[in-house]
Amino acid sequence: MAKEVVMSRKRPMSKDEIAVNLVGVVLIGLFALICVVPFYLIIIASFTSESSLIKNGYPLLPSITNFSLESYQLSLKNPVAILKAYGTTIGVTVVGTFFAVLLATMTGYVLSRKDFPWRNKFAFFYFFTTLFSGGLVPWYLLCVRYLNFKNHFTGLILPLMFSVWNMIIAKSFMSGVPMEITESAKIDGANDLVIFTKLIIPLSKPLIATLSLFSALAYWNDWYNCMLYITDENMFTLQYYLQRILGSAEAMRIVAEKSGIALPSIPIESMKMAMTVIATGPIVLLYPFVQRYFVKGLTIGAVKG
Amino acid sequence: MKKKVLSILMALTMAVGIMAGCGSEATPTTTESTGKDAQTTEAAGQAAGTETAAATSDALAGLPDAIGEDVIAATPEMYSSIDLSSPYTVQMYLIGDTPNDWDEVLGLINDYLKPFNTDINVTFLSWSDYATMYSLVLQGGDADLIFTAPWCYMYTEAAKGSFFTLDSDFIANNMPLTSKYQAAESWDETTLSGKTIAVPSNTAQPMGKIVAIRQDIADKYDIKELSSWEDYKNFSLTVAEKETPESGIYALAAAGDNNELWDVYREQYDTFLALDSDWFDMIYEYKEGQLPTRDDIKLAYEYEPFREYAKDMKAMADAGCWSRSALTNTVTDDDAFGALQGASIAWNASVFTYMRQAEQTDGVTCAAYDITNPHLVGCEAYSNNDMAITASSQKPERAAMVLDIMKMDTYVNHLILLGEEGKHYSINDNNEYTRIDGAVENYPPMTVSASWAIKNGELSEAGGDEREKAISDSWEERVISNPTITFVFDDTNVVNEKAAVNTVLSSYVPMLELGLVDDVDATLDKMIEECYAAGLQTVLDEFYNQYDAWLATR
Amino acid sequence: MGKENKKTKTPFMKIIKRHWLLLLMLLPSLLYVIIFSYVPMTGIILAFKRYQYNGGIYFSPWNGLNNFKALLISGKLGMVTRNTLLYNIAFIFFGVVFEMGSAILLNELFSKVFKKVTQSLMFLPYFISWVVAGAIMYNIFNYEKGVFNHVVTMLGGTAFDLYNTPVAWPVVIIFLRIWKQTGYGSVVYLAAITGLDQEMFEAASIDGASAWQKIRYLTIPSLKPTMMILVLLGIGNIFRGDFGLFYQTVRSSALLQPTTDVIDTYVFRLLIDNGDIGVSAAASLYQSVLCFVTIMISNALVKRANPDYALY
Repeated sequence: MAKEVVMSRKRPMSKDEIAVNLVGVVLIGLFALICVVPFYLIIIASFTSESSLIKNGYPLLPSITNFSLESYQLSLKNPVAILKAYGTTIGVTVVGTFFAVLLATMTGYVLSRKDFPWRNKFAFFYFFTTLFSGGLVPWYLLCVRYLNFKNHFTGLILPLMFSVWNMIIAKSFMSGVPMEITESAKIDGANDLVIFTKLIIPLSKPLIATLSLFSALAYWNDWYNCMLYITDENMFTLQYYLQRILGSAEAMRIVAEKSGIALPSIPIESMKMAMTVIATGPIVLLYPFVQRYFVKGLTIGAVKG
Repeated sequence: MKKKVLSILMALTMAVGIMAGCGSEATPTTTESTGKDAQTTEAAGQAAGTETAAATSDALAGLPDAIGEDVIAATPEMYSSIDLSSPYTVQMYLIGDTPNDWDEVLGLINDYLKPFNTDINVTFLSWSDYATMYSLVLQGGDADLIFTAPWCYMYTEAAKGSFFTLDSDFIANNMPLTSKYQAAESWDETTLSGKTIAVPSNTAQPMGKIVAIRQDIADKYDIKELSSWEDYKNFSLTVAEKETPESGIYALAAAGDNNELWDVYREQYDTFLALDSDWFDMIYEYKEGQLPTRDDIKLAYEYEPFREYAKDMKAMADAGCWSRSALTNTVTDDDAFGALQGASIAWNASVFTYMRQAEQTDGVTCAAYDITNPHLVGCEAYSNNDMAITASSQKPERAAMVLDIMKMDTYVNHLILLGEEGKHYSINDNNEYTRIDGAVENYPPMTVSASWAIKNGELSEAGGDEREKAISDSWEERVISNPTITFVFDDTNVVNEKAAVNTVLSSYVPMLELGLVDDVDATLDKMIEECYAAGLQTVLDEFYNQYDAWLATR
Repeated sequence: MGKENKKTKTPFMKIIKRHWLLLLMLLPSLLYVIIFSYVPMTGIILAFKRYQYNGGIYFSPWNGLNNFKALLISGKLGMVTRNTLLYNIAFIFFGVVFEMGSAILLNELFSKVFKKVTQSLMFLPYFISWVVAGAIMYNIFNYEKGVFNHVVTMLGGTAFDLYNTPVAWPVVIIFLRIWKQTGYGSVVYLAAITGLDQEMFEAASIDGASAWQKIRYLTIPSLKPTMMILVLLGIGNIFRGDFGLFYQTVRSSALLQPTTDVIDTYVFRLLIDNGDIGVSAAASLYQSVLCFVTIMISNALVKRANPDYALY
């Protein structure tokens, strides 16, 4: 029977616990501050006019005189396109994350089974793929010429679907689950798949939360696969859509230099900031949602019971 | 063999036609060849037994002598050597962002191409991607036509064999209009090791290097105008000393490097580049009527004036003309100037765009000065922007035909360059166009990359900035075409050494050009030393050998 | 009859018969890895070829070791390799310290609200691209107008020219890496901590152990397997540099190169001119071989100490 350990304290706090807590508050608080200050600067800068950014750098405090919505206006000038991009990205992220977590945990489980004699050989077979790579050209030719990824959602979902890194973490976590569980279930007549789905998965909530977070982030931030395979504007992901608007300041400058043509200038600095804000917004909310699963004690009771 | 037979038949037919008189009567005498006339011509050709040859030559007969004189219209008969019986979509790849009204414009082009049983599908590689995607697209294999340029991997991809080789027969048969109107000397510029791999643009406009300054700031310190390099230096030092501490405005808000000023500086010595390849430039001084010999051409950084320039730059940097962190600065000097953070910029006529931007603020006036007047001014190479047919194209002749039409057919050419007449622009008889406010945002003129590669130089914008006109008129008088422009260096044998030297140069030259070094002589000498250690001599030897070979053919 | 069957079956068949369902469960990811990793891996031969469009990957002409010569010609390969290795060692070491440390401290915090808020904030740097981070850095450390020098001179010190001081950069880069990575990396340790046996801690409290002692003798040792895995994964990439970090913050300054150039930025500059596919493949192969040798040795050493900690 699973025993749930509640988070609230049952004993009075001892001095050293207070000390640890204090050290924690100070260090973590300081670090969190260092992490948030740049983001704060980014938000302020995204609402500042380009000329002010060039002139004064990034302001510490928002000011009325230099307030400008131009970079947001430019980024969001096509609301339908942005909504489509959000839709595509969310869709790809949800579907992709589901399959990514499934594959990583299933594979990780098999390789964590100590009674499976070939597990180390397979582990090496998987891991080897992170060491050697043929490079971009063979990959691109495979995906575009033979697998037909062009302008197809598979091009956005498949490349990120299985990550050896995630699998190794899954394997490591699942190794911590004792063999007794598997053995007793087998005696009860369950096969490996049933053991996996009905027993191991429920015990691995922190792991699944972690892998879901990592996969979701990977899909959400991905613009590279969209660049490689998608030319249909209706299928752009959010990050890529924003990147395209920004273009590349250096590339345009090179062109202007070499061909003597001055291209229309855009507020590059403030746009980089606005893009970061637009692209990051929703996903930052995912993390607190996932944190719910990092609660002690959800996995332990089953073993003892 | 087939071609030889054709040409004999063609000669015979023409002879028959002239003698019989029927062919010439059917040939339209008006300058616009219409469908009806083509049909009559076709009938005559059929009667003569070689429909293709006669039709082509007759269809071409009525065209104006030069571009801009009158409307040029392409007809399917001009491409009679191509089999147009089955429909085909030409896949074209361009660089840049898609204009809002692009779909409309493309629709009009495809309507026009219906008689040719061909249509175009365009994919834009955006600025943020093209560095990675350009090569991949060519490997991927579905492109027929692609924009290319020396700055857009033209030489790299040519070395890989990614482009379709155009031989003179191919061009004559499949690009008759280009054969007629393209400047003959332009083809050499896209011919590498004997193979022509791209079609250059058809214009080589003068491109001098000038400086633009904040005249209102200059007036503050009693500087009326700049007419020499010393004047410019003086202006910058004055600004650094008196203006920067007060308002924070830099004399030149440099970012990354300072090669624009170097281009201005070296115009004082009437220099041209025999090789312009990233940092690896080979420079020489122009002497009238002669081609330079190998001894005249040097690596730009072994050329004495560069040392002098670097020293001037150090003097300016030390005085505070730009930030000490300029190397890492990402905001371009042009943008900074437009945002009123810099007091000067240098480049070609594009400085006017930024001048206008700065002048939007009250009290700001700008002025551009051609400080190297009366020295020579070079011109843009024909090959600065090109279109290429890809090696993977299934029907290169169709791609060639489409390119021919884009370049020379007035209707299609103007559609791509300017948009829809009456909607985005209006045009007068002198080939001067005027933007139509409002609509022009949906199709700004000359922003689609294809337009740079297919322009013929006959169009100009009406009512331009007077200052700009004055300067470009002055350039017209002093322009000399780079005599070594048709020499193309093939670096296949020295790729590694050249790349290694380039790496050394790319690390040191920006620093030297920004004067952010402690000792110019020491740093410059060290850089040269490291270049030789990286294999500079090997590259130079190869260069001189190839150059001598080319020189011998002149 | 059963005995006869057992005698004639090979161990190979026995394993398949016994674990066929496990093998089936492996099948999807196995296929994935074969198609998406092993098939393109054949492209490694490009490192020895001169890529021509009409030859493609497999039929382009051979180029022997010339592509590798391109890497060696400037004599800088040793220096950038050294830099890459040293930086990655520092990243792994500080990664463990900060990620495990913050996970442990977070775990000890009383206030749930404080915990959740700081965790989310610590995650934010992950979302800031290096391009943006580089721009912010420039704004802060720029010699004349930067905030940093502003504050320093106000407090009476002399202005510091970061972009012209090579020796300061290792510190700066390691700091940047910690700043960006800690939030993300601590998640794995946090998940591991939540999976720890609570009774062990209860028992220790009853025995009178202090909070510090519990951390030192219980928490940290229990996190050792997780730490080992992450360290080994880091070693597997020890000769690969984070291009965004090293390029966007430093840009191309010869002055800063001796202390900040890594293999990836070096190769990038080499290829800017000619984009040679063969040279790029050669550089990648170079890094791969070095990583391979390192991880094989490391994993073997770890396996000898404790087989459960090894990757394979």
